Amino acid sequence: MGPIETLYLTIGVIVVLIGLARGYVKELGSTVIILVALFILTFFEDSINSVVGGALQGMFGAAEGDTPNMALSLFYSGVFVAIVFAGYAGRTLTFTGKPAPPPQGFLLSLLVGVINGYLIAGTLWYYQHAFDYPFFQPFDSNFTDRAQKLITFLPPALFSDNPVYWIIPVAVLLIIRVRG
Amino acid sequence: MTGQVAILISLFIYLTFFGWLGWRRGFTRELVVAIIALLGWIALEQRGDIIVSMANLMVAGLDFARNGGFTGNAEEAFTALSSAPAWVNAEMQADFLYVVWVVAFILAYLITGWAIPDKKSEKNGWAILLGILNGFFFAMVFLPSLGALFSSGDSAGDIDVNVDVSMNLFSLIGRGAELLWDMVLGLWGLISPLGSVGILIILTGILVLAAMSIRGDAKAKS
Repeated sequence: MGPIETLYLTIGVIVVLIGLARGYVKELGSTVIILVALFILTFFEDSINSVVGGALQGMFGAAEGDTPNMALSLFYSGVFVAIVFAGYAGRTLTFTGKPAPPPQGFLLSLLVGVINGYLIAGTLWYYQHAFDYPFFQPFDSNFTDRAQKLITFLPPALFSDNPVYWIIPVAVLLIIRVRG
Repeated sequence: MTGQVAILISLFIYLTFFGWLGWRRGFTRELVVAIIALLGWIALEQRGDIIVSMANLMVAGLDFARNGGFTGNAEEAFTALSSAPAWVNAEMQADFLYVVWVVAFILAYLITGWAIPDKKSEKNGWAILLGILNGFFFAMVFLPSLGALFSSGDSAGDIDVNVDVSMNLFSLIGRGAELLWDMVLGLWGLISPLGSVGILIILTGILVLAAMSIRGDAKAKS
């Protein structure tokens, strides 16, 4: 396994462990927030790029046509991390009730943790890859076949043609939540 | 391919069994067994020579007593003691340490079974994980010798009981992880024709399953 996927896999595993410790009832609330964050960041991507690019040119006099990779990567990663942090630590949408008893409850916590791990680690990876790794050059720039394959399935790249898809699971979860 | 499927099914049955066993025995019991197995393994790998020296000393002490060390001529007994061959020599050291570790591991399993009451050993997901980890330890203990036992030999004398004294836990786990990864790739082969819609369906399905399984008051608070 190449180093770049190891790095993001490690982040994903840490999120999975957090999910196991918190349990899936709490994790579902965070999942909804992450999915909404993904929808916003991908749906308004073009607008964000032009606004952030324009702001950089205005503030720092960056030449027109320059790709402000570092600023955009920092912006997207920072906003995403802030939303995820708020989803985990802030006052947020939560599901209440008792989880299913083990082993089903444990397996569900594992599955939801894996989803959150994929969404968080994959999105962070995507916003490094999309802007040509401005903060660090990968340890091995020759990605393995596996890494190159994985990159095509990173969350923001998944529904790049139609980001509204991200809202479908959110809508379904909200309906279940309202129904009680 | 067929062989791989068979190995994968065997691995699943094996892990499921130990996961179930872990859940039945509870977290505390499995944790104690895992700690003893792990610490014992590290101690024997790093400081095995001390255990060997202690065993040799004990056996030599018994010889000393038997040869009249406490009753007869002490000087002769001491000479016999110092010239006595080591009970565990360098060739046998690895096998001896392996046996010591196996005994400690099995004793830990048995003793925790009756020494820790059910109430103090909670049945939860961590117990399942520890059960699976202990399953890997069991595999490490028994698979090499069982493999040798069931390997085809013309006669019993031909069977090479090549016990894996290197106790390579990580390669065992690595091989298991490789098999699981192959299974994920296999599943991915089924999903990938559906493209991103397939992922969306699976993702939504898991989340709905989780949300629907919340019991009692499932209303949200904000």
